[in-house]
Amino acid sequence: MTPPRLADQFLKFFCAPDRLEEVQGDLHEEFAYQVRRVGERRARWRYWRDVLGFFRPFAIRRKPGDYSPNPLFSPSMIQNYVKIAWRNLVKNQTYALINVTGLGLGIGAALLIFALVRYHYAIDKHHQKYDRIYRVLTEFVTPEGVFDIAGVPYAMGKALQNDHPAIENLAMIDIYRDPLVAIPMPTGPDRKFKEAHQMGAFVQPAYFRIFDYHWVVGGPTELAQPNTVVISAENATKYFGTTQVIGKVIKLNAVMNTRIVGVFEDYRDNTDFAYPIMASWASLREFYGRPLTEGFDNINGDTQCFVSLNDGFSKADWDRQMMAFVKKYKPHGVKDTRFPMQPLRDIHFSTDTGGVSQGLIWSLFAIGVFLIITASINFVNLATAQALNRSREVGVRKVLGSTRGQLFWQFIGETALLTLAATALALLFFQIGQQLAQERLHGAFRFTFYYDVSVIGWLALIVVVVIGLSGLYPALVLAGFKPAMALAGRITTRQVGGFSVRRGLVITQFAISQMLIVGMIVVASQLQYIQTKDLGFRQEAILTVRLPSSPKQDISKMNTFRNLALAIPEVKKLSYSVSGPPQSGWISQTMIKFDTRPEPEKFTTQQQFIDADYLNVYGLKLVAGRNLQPADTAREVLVNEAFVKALGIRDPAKVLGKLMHNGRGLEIVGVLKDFNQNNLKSGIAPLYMTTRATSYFYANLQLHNGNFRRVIEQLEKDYNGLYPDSYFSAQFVDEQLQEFYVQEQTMASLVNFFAGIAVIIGGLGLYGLVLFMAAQKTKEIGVRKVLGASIRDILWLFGREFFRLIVVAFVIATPMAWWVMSHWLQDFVYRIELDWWIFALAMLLTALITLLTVSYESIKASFANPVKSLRSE
Amino acid sequence: MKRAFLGEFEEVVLLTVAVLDESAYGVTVTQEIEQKTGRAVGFSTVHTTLQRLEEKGYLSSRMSGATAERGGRRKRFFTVTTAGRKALVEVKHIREQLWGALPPQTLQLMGN
Repeated sequence: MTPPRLADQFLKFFCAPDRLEEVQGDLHEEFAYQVRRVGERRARWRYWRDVLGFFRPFAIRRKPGDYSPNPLFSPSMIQNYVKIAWRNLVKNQTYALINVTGLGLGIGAALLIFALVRYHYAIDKHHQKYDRIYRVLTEFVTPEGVFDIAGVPYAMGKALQNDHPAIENLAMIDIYRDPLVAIPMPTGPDRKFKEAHQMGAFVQPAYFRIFDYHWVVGGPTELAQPNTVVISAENATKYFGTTQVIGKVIKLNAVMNTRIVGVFEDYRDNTDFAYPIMASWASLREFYGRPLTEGFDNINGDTQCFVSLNDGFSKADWDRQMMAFVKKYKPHGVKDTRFPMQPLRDIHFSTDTGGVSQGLIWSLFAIGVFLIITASINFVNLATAQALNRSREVGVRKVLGSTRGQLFWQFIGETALLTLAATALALLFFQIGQQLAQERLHGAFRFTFYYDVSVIGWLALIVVVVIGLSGLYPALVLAGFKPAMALAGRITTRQVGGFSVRRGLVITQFAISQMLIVGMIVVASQLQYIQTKDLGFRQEAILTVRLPSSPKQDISKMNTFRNLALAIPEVKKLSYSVSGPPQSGWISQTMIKFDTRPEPEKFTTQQQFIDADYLNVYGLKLVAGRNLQPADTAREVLVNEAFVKALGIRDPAKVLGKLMHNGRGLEIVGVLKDFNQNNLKSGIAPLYMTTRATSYFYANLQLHNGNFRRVIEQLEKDYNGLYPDSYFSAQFVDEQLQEFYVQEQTMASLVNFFAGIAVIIGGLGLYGLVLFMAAQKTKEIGVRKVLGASIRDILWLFGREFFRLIVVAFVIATPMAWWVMSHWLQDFVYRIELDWWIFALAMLLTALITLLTVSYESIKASFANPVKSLRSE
Repeated sequence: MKRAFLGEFEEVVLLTVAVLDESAYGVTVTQEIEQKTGRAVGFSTVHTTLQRLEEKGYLSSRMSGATAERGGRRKRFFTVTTAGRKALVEVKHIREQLWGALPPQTLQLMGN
């Protein structure tokens, strides 16, 4: 008759060990007594009740003893562990240094990357309605594919509001770049602020019900009226020295006075919608000097529409509703126009609409993971290499009673200590790297870190992973030594996981290095390729000068400016246009009808306004017909080859003399050879060009060689005399082109930077390994030399090993690198081929790096005098 | 001098240990209390009290040698210390004083 077993087990579980015996004894005795007295069933119940009764502090509390029940945690042992660990570090300073530096570099760089990733994923998350905010896009379905534009027609707002009362909030916003702010002064000229790199906007009041803003003073309530504006605290302080500026007047772009009705808190660097000057939507008509375009055919990427939807509104609902919407408002666009919604969380990563490439973020993340793996592999390699030296220690400890678990935790602890030291170093690298990144990359694309809990969390995670990756294997190996063998000194490299494991690790490392090197080469040559590719127009020595952003250009002033500019001897030709051939971001799309075809064409066309000198300045070639006649209004058009092709006509000459209808009929007089009017990521789209002087926005000046600075100074003087309200802004076309590739360039520098670090860490590991090999092979080398081996033979001893590893790594790395990089190249319409030489070069570079790190030690080893190495025997 | 304080149950347990003399341990104490007072006593309550009394210095304990009983588990025997005896005497003394101070008619009402 035994008491309930489960109750007994429970008692054992919670009861303090020093009390268990007596308590359990008493309970059992009582149980036996109760069985006799009241029968077994009731005795069992009682037993349970009694056991549960013991679940109270006196039984649970452990007595502090002189000896810890677990010797692993006894203070004297810990002291001993630390002491031994320290002695080992001091004895093997080189290894320790390599280990800590490598790990520190790896952890620091990985932390940088993770902070960057986390920054990009936190963009705009602070808005309360984050999950319910959408941007309405315009999507065109063309034969070449589907492409999205961030903008919508002006009429979208009102139409949506009428047709979809389900929309909780809807706000239109119109963005413009580089606002010019003037503060009217009681006496003297206005104070002017040229806000380059800032963006201005016109918004509807509902914008502030969708997005969260904190108001320093005032608010958006009055923003429904025309000529009102809200500005950021930073701008307010810049203009007036204070944020208490309600009721003050600022003049925007020299055309419109606006009254400040609110000041909001500054943007932190965590939003994609940083518009420090937001005027009321109702002011838009005055700002542009004309009523807003009606209809649904004109789309501009800068006129956007945001909505916040109620919970439970699905994408499918939206798409269905919008099909009916298109049918109603743009019947001719049913086939090729859609208005999908883009969730706020996708906006930052949508490359079509100017976002950051998610692929870039993830490839950086992958590099971060690689960094940690490489650094950990170093650690494992060096630790197992050193394991031999510690075999005696392990033997002694085991003989004196250490258990396998104890030894295991001892070595894990040592790894943890080293890792923590490396982490301190990593934080230093993190600081430096962050500073470097801010300096080098700022403005290119934002690169900000926040010291918040998540970064600390990442750090903790990285540390734990590193300890696990790098400590586990060596600890298992060391703890597994047989004491007899260890004490007799008969542990060989074979027991230390053998060569195969070590080789596997080195191969992994080599493969990672090779993949990264391939990545570096591909990115660099692709950039080189697109930057030097013939774009089909002249880029050198062309200066573009911005005209005032007034709604209608003053033609007589433009003529004056032309004459003044041409008077400068270095200026060869001047042409006016709405933009240069490279159009960044701003693409005017439109639908046209051709000839006598009744239906509008199924493709959208980009439009450009140019004067007759444009072709000369940019060196554009005609394949058929003639140039435009000089004119101030639109009469004739030039189209490109892509346009002709999109019409389905093979011979360019056949379109000459035909009419193209965009509102009204324009005669096609010439066909231009295709040139890249966008960037090389997208292809060549259909384009037509016509004259329209009042819409010109840029003067394009072709210059002779000479003192460009003097030319610009002279132009600035002329310009300021002519347009006193505006400000002068000039840029060379080739520089402008570089800006298209800012993201790619940033990516290249980031990839180079981090991949470089990974390669360095790999090199460090190799160095450590060859040090160890040399030490192990001292005797072997001595014997070989005595027996007549030449220095070359000895060197080959080392070389053979590493050469083999490189080749195997190459076989593994090549297909992976090929796959990843060809994926990346898919983003580019014009791209390089992944030739064999890229991979060969990567292998060669790896070999070279290996040679550099390995050669010194191996040469030293091979030159060593055998007398010395053999004497001790 | 700090006055000894004994809870009612503590007093009972302490007295029982004294009564049982050399053979006081968890089981005997519990059973003795149950028999003498007729009230059901929680096993763990007795253990707790014994330990508390030991912490207060009124009891001392030692483990017995292992016997064949109860699976060879040892017993913890309790003995009353000098301090424990003093505390008992003091409590008894206070009771007697109180009894002695009862007016005779009240004593009669109680049936004595």
